[in-house]
Amino acid sequence: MKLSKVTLKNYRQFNSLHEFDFSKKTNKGINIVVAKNGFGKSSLYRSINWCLFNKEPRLKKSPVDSITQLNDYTEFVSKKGDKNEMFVELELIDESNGNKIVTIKRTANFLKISDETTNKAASSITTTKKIEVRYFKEDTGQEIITNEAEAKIFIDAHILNENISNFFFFDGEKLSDFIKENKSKSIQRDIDILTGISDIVQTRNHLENWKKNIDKSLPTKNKKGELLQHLIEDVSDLNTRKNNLEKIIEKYDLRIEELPSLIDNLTEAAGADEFSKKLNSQIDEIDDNIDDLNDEIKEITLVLNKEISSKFSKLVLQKSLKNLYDLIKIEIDADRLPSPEIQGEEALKAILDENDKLYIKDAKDSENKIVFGEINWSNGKDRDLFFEAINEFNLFSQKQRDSSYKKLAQGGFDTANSLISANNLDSFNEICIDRYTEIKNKKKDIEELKSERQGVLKKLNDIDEEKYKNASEKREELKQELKNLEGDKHADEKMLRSIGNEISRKNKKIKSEKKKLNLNSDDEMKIEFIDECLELLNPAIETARNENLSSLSNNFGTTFDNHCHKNYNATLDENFNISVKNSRKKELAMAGSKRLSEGETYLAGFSYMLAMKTMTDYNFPFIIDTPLASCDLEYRERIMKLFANLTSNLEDSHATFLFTPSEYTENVKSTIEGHISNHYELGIDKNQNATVKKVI
Amino acid sequence: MALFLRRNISTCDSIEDSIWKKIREHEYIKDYGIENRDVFLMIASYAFKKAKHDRKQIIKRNDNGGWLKDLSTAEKSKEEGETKEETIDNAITLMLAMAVDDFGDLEILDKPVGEIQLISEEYANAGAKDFYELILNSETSEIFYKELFELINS
Repeated sequence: MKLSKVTLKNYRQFNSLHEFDFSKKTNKGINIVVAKNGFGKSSLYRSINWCLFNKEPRLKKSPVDSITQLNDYTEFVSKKGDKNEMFVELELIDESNGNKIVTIKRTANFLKISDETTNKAASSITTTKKIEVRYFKEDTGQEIITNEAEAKIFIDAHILNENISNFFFFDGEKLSDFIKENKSKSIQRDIDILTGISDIVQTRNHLENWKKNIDKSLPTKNKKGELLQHLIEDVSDLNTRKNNLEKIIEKYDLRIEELPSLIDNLTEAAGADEFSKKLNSQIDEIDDNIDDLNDEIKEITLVLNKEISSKFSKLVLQKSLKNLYDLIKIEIDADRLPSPEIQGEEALKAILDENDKLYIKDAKDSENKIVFGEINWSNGKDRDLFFEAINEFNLFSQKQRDSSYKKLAQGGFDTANSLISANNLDSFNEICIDRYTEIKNKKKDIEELKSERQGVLKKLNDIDEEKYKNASEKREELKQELKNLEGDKHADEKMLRSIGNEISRKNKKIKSEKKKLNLNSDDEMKIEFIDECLELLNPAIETARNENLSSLSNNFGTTFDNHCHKNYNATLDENFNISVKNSRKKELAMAGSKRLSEGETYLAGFSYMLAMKTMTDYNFPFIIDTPLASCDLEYRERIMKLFANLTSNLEDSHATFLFTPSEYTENVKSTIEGHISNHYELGIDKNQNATVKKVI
Repeated sequence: MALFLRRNISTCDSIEDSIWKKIREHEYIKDYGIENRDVFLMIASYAFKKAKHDRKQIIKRNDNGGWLKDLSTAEKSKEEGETKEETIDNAITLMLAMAVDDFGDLEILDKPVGEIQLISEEYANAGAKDFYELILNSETSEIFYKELFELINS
């Protein structure tokens, strides 16, 4: 609900009736009231609080003493027996109910009982106090609440919950102090209130108090049985262990439940991984085979080439060798080569005696010679000449034999023969062709292997290696983890059973001990019940707090970071402390030498309040007293700009600032003047010592 | 039976860029462990096969390259029991065969040994350049030797 009008009558500085229109004009979400200290600014601020919650902030006395609220001048000018009325009326617009008007009017009536004294408290008395809430209900029409309790319920539910009113009404000066003190407990409490956790906390506190009260009655009885006390402690310890074990087993179960599907997921990947490894191994094998074949080809080539090079000239010159051989053979066949040599000169001499008779020796009698012929030399030839001719011939032959021609022919003949027969061209060709065929086949094999390698490589490339890399190992690790977990779980379950048995055994003992001691079992049951409730409540409280803390921290940080001119980062940490870090991630203190400036502290405060307000469901406006009181000049414009943007951008957002003139500087004015719906200045009527309102 | 030649086998140094050295040191030759005298005979027989009677006169004789040194010192080496007689005979016989075939008659054998030897040397001189080109034009040793193999059969 939006606040649209505040009407005051005889309330503190305000003599008689004063109306403040706080309704929001189009896109103008700011109302300002400018007044010097003591001119009624804070009274206006308090009046709204009083009307709503019957309390006045920043006053030590509580509850409010009504007579002090009555305007001094009104009381002063009235006569004994006069009745004075004082009220504050708020007019609100219920946008959730067709913009129907809701009014809340809190009234106090007074009776002047004496003219004698100047002491207001002594001359007037409070006669009646009442509240009147008027609102529109769709089915029944206009409704009026006059009961204080019912009014409180209505206000809390529809207008503003008192517990979180601090986020809507606050004092600028106090805001800075709040941040500097960094009240983590206050923040925790704020979150609790804001999110309804406080109700659960209250319930928990009630339960704890209840338990304490019950406990108080137990010790005297327990003293009687130390054994029972020990047993209870043991059981408590055992239960703690049991709970811990159950939690561990629960974790095991979750993981055990999760692991098979993870393993299954990896199975396909592992298959691919295995396949990839297999393919890689195939490629390696093919490469090895290719290398082997290449080595073999190299070996064969080497041998073959050596063969060719060593036999090249012998084979090329086969025909020439054959020719040489044939020519020499002709010479040999014609007995021209080698030249004849008459051998057996001595033997001739043995059969041709000096008388030129020819003898044959008797084989049986060597001395006996048989004459079988006689040589008749002619032409003057004789035996000596015959032997001389033989010698001459032999000498000639010897000379011939020693000549280059004969040597070369004889040597060449023999060697050519050996070269021709040793270097059979056909068999050489056969060997070479075989070798070349072998090389060709091996090369073909290599080509086939290369083609096979290409195929394997293509398959390998089709596999997303990154995805499946080490999947097999990972799967094995998970399998091992599953096995280990099952083993651990089994062991822990065994332990759990053993603890369960122990607890049961000890509980029986406790029961018997209790019987002996005649303890009140109802109290025990109550404590058990309370403990169970606490076990449920405590984690729920923590979870809710943490969730809301995270959301609050986010809102707070965003507002602060966006409006701080330095590169700071603000959060609410897990201990509910406001934390601001500089660009080097160094924590800045809220006070001290290395701290935030006053303006930054202020900004942190506003950011916090805004974040808290954002988390509520109420559209009640901000009403901020002395909003910039202790804010340095640097940040005044920034903070006002923040509100100007906030109120103009958000339809349901508006704010009322209660400025002192020193706060409302020209810069502040120029920053917000385009956003102001209503502007008042409060002066003072010196005669009445009462506030005078001036509409700007 | 041992035969030996009158002098070292000669090559011609007038062939540009010391082509013999290049051939001897080329990987297709050196890496296959082919000895100098076999290289000489290969080139000579290569030239003989390609073009019979197409010999080339040696202009600048080089006897000091250590070519077929073992031929000229055959007797000495033989006495020292180091040289295989058969090998020497094979090399010389091939040179004889080439000389007789080129001359067309055994009568060449009756001429001074130096003349027989010169025939092979001139064939080698004629074929060295082509032989080196064959090496250079063969991308691999395998291709080179295959070429020689085909030449044997042609």
